This record gives sequence, C-alpha cells and structure tokens, in this order.
Amino acid sequence: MSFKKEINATLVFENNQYFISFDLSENKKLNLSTDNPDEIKEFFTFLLNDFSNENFDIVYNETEDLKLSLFNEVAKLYIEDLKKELNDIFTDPDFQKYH
Amino acid sequence: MFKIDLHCHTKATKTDEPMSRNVTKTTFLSTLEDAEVKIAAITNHNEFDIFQFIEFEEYCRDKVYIIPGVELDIKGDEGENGHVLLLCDPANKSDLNSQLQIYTNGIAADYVSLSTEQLLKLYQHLDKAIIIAHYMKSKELSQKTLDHISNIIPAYLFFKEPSSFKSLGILLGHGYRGIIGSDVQDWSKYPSEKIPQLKLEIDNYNQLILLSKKDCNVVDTLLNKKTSKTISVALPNGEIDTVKVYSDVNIVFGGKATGKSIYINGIGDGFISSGYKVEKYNPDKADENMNNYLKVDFTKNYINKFEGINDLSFSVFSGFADQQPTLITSYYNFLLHISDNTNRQKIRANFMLDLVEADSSIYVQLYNTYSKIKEFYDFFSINSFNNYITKQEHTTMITIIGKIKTASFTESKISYINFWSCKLVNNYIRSIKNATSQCTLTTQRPGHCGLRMFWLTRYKIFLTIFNIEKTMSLKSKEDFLPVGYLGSDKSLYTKTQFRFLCSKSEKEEYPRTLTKLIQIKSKMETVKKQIFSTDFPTQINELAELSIAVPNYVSVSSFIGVKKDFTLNKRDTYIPSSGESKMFMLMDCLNKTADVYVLDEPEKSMSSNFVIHDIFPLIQKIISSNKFVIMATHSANLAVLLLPYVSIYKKRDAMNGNYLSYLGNPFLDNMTNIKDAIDTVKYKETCMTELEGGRDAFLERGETYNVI
Repeated sequence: MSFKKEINATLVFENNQYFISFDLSENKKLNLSTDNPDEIKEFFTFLLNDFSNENFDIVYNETEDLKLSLFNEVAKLYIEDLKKELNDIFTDPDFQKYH
Repeated sequence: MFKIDLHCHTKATKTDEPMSRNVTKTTFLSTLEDAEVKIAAITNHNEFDIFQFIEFEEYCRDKVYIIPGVELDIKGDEGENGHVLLLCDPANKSDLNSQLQIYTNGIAADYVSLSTEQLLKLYQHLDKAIIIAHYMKSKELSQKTLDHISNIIPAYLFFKEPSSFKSLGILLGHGYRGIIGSDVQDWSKYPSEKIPQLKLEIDNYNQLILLSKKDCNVVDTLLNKKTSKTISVALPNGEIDTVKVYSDVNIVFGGKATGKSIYINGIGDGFISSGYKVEKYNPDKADENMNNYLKVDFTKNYINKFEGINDLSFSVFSGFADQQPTLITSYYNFLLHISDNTNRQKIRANFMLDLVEADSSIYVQLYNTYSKIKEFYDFFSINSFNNYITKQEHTTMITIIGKIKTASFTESKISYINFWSCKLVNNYIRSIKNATSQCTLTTQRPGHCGLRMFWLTRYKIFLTIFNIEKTMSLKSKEDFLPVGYLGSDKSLYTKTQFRFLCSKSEKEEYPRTLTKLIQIKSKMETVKKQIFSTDFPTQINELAELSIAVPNYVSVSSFIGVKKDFTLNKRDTYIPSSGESKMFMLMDCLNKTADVYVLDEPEKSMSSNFVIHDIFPLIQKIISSNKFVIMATHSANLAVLLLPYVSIYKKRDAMNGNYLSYLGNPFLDNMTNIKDAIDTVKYKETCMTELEGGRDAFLERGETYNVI
C-alpha cells in the first residue's frame, strides 16, 4: 500500500461567493459561484501537476456555519467525483506504464 | 579484298606429290592476283629453294608479298608422323636456308623427318618464326606434341591449320589461333574460295605478327568479322571529315589543341544520331560525375530503413482542444432539485457515476495477437515437419501452442466483454438519467466532473510525443553500395547514413528543413514537459503550425537525415583524389553496356601501371564483343600497344591553321591525309614523335631502363 498524502478541502464564503479551498502549495480555490470552464481547467492542470508527483487523497472538512448551505452539498458531491476520477487516473495502465 | 595464303607449294618435292604443284613465277603471280591474294607463303615439303624464292619474290614485288617457309615432316613425341609449316621473315630467308640444310642436306624430301626438339631448335635460330601445325586433319601431331610446342613458343607465333573453312571458324570461335592455306595441288585449279581474308591490310611479316599479337583471329570468319561505320565529323573550321571506324579500338592522337576531343565527340554523336548506345568518358567531368554518386533524393521516404516504424504524420497535433469539464452548475442544479421528486430517488441509476471505459484498441490488439497464434497453430497442425522433429515432438508442440491459443483467446474475449459491458452500462446510466430528468423535470446527476477525460486527452498527446521521441532515438542505419576498385585490396563504396535528427545532425542531411525540424523537435520537448500546464493548448497549436510550415507536412520520416560519403572497404569515410575519381569514372564507363565507348584522354592523371593492368583488359574485353572504342590519347601505351584498327593523327597546319587528319594503323606504316591522298606521314615516326617525345627520348629511356 502506497502512502497517500492528504489534501484538505474546505468550503469558504468570501465576497458573497462560495469556494472550495484546497490546502495545496498555493492554497488553491475553486469558485463554486461563478461557473468558468477555463477556471476549472486551470484547477485541473494544477491538480494534475501535483498528482503527477505523488498519490494523494482529498479530505473534505465541513464547517459548522456553512453546513446547511446547498454549496456544502455541491462541494461534497464534486469532491467525491474528483476523488473517484483521480483514482481512475492513478490506476490507468498507461499512467502506471509511463510514471 | 586482302587474302592471305600461307600454305602454297611451288614444287613437287616428294615422289608422291602431283606434278601439277610445279608452277612458274608468272602462273604463280597471275593465279594469286586473280584470287586477290596479297600475301602468300611458299611452303614446299622438306625443302626451301632459296633461289626459286628470290626469283619469285623479285617477280612478285609490290604485287604479292611472299613469305619464305617449308612444310616439314615431324616425328612427334608419341612417335606419330605429322606435318607443320615453318615460316619466317623474308629478311631471314638465308637463315632458314642454312639452318634447314643442317637437317635435310643430302636427304631426299621423302625421307626427311625432324623430331619435335629439332623443330624447336630450328625455330629458335630464326627470329620470330611462325609455326602452323596440321589440325583436325591427316598428318596431325598428337596433343602431347602440340602442347610441347606451345609451351616453348609464344601463342601469337603458333597457329593451327584445319582442313576446311568451317573448321577454321569453329577453331577461331573457341579462341584458338588458326589459319588455312590453299595447300595447292594443281595451280590450274587454285581453290580461291577457300582462301581467308585478313582482318586488316598489312605491309609485311612483322605486321602479320603484330596482328596476331593483337587478336587471335587474324582472319575474318562469319562470326568474328569486324564491322565498320562511316561517320561524318564536323571540324571547327566548318569542314567535314568522313572517317571509317571499326568495331575495335580507334585512336585519335596528336599534339595539344589539334581538335582531338571535338573529333572523338563528333564520331560519338554520329553514332548517337544513328541510334547506337554511346557511353562517353571525359576526365574533366570525372569529379563532377563522381559527386553524382553522393547525391541524395530528398523527395524519397526512407522510413523503411528502420524496421517496424510507423510514419506517423504530425497532423495528429492539429486542431487540439481540451476536453471541457463538467460545470459546477450541473452539480448545483442536480442537488437543488434532488428532493423534488421522491420517485426519482428510488431509481439508483440516477445516482451512479460513469464507469471508466477501456480503449477499444486494447481488445483489438489482443484479438490480433490471438489471430496470429491461431494462424501458426493451424499451419503447424497440418504440416508434420517430420524432416526436423519427431511425431512426439510435433504433438507436444501442438499441445503447447494450443494452450497459448486458448489463453490468448480468453484474454481477448474478456477484454472485449469488459469494453462493451462498460460502454453498455454507461449508456444505460445516461439513458435512465435522461429519462428520469424528462419525466420529473429535474436535473440529472453529472456522470463525472471531467477530470479524467481532461487528463486522457492531454495524456494521448504525451504518449504520441513519447513514442515519436523513442523512434527518433533509434540507432542510425547504413547502406553500402560498391563503386569500383582502387587496386585489388581497395574497394570504394558509397556509404549512405540514415539517422534521426540529433545533436550531431548536419545541414547536408536536411538541406531545406534542418532549422525547422530542430524547432519542431524542441517544441515537442516543450509540449511534453508542459502537458499539464495551462499554456498547453497554445504550445500544441504552435507545434502544429510549425509542422505545417515544412513542405509535404512533417511526419516521423521527415526527421530521418540522409548523408552519403565514400568509404574504402566499408570502413572510414574516404575522399577520393581527383586521379582516383577519374579511375573510377573510367572503370564505370567501361563497365556499362553500350555499342560505342568514346574515351577522351583516359590516361589523364592515371599511372601507366593502372592503364596497362586495369584499363587494357577492359578495353580488350569490349572489342572482343565487336564494339567500337573511340579514344583520344597522348599515351603511347594506349595508342600503340592496343594495336588499333584505325589511328587518326590530328595536326594543325602551321601555314593556314587548318585541322588535318591522317588515317592509318600500326599494320601499315603510311598514314594518309583524309582530304589529300598524296599527303602522307609515317605511322611509326609520327607515334614516336607525338607519343614518345621523339626517337632520342624513346631510346634514351630504353638505355636508362637498361632494356636496349
């Protein structure tokens, strides 16, 4: 079993907008309130760059004050999908072959 | 017609000979003249009547050239009785007379018989005597005796005389020296139809020997008859020379600036216009022609030099676009309406995510592997190979291959099922979600966030570049093609090197594309490194644009650089000298198939040793096939030793600057001005002056070499 680094993700509310904040090197935030594909792609590339180096797990930490927000559910579901796809990539034979 | 009869009897010297062999000088001459015989040898049985010979020689002077000789009875090495003719230079007739007396004095012709040793002693006392032995007819010596004789005397002085003209043709066709004479029985019935024609007109005995030295066939037969062609040559002053050249060596010689090159090329062009295939050699173009060996066809695709490589086009990089991610709104809308319809929640499929679908190429590849194994299995099953293996071994092999076949089929079947089951499940999930959304007017759950597809799209580009780079790191390949020889231990080859673009690549390997290809390679490396950068779409589009800028679009094969060099014995790169280039180009020209070879100063920049030992045999081979060699030369070795059928001496008239052409050959000492039959020069003297630097220089060299 390889050791998986844990990445903590938290829902934050700033300037009337919801973000998922990841405790990555640049404290990366994914804006949930404005739907910008380029911003998502940029987030993907950021994630994949780190992912290329080591396997990691994303742990979503609910905050009490935003627990009842619909965006909390959005963040949970999104991170669930994100984790599954990260795992799919990591277990892909091509990825295994060339990394 | 120039006929030769080297077997004439003028006297019946033996008692069993017909008296009709006795002939007067007037009948002798008139008969020979009627038969167009220009050279005749008097060869009476076992007797040389020097007084009669002198009388006949004097009477026939300037009409028929008479050679002294005798027909001898020989007791051969195996005790057999045979006949040979012994001929000598008329200048040595007294020697023939005195030497023959030693063996015949006081003995009647009927009883004279010399041993082989005595014959050879007699021969050795006569300078350049010719021996003609009966062959394939009565009074033939045994093969042992003939071999004995041929071991002592040079081949060009030993002929065989068969019984008929047809036998002579067969003899000559097999490369033997042969001649046939009249052996006249009755001068009133001289067999003129049986008398052969000399290939060339000659003046004297020595020229007969020269002709024999040059060619074992001194007389024409149907097979060896030299052909001739009359060509009109335009001279620099506008005049035309009409010259007859033969399917043999034809030499043009003379001083500098006498128009030799123009002349031989004019003859060559005359042949071309008559439809002949002409090969030309010009030493001044040798370097240029040599460089043609190193020309590379850069329009060709050399991918097949590397086995198992696909020539992937870089068009795969065009039109790249990232896979679009699933928008957050899809998640938001799904969750917003999730509790609106309780029935929706009962359908589990509404909450399922897409399964990861495998690449269809995986099962295709596995099935192809299975097909190949099956093909081999079927082939192996129906062939017993009992020459190589036992029945038991065959059965074992079938069992093993059968196991592999089954396992391979199972693997490809599982892969096929996996692929299609994932696809069908995903289709099912999407269909259910769509149907539910339509029926409940709610948003379906997103199947994925799009990360994997985003990764996969870029990763395919990464893999493509990875494979291209792997191909481009393959070791270079080399092809060798022989060019020619520089002596027995040195063979020149062209080495063609095929290698993918690397740090050592040179401009000449990619004459028009090197800079662009370096840019493309560098860009590929960048693209590969930035596979997960936000700048990736820009970089890949730049790579696609660079690839389009190269003619015919870039593919993997575009990166194969081709370079040609010369190499000696397939080792290090070698740059032939100018002289060596000439040697190779000359050999190349002579080795080509043609009707006519036009050689302009082939000796230029070459050693005499090479000319004698390498060029001579090639030219002799060419002319033995009745082909034309037209050659301008300053080399005495080529001009004289090849004994050309035609020699043209080119000279510039000091008075009016006109180009003069004198025609002759080594067998006739006179060379005649083509335009003025009265104007003649001497062949030997002219050759000595023009080719040897004059008589004094020639003799001095001989003294220096201690050969005179």
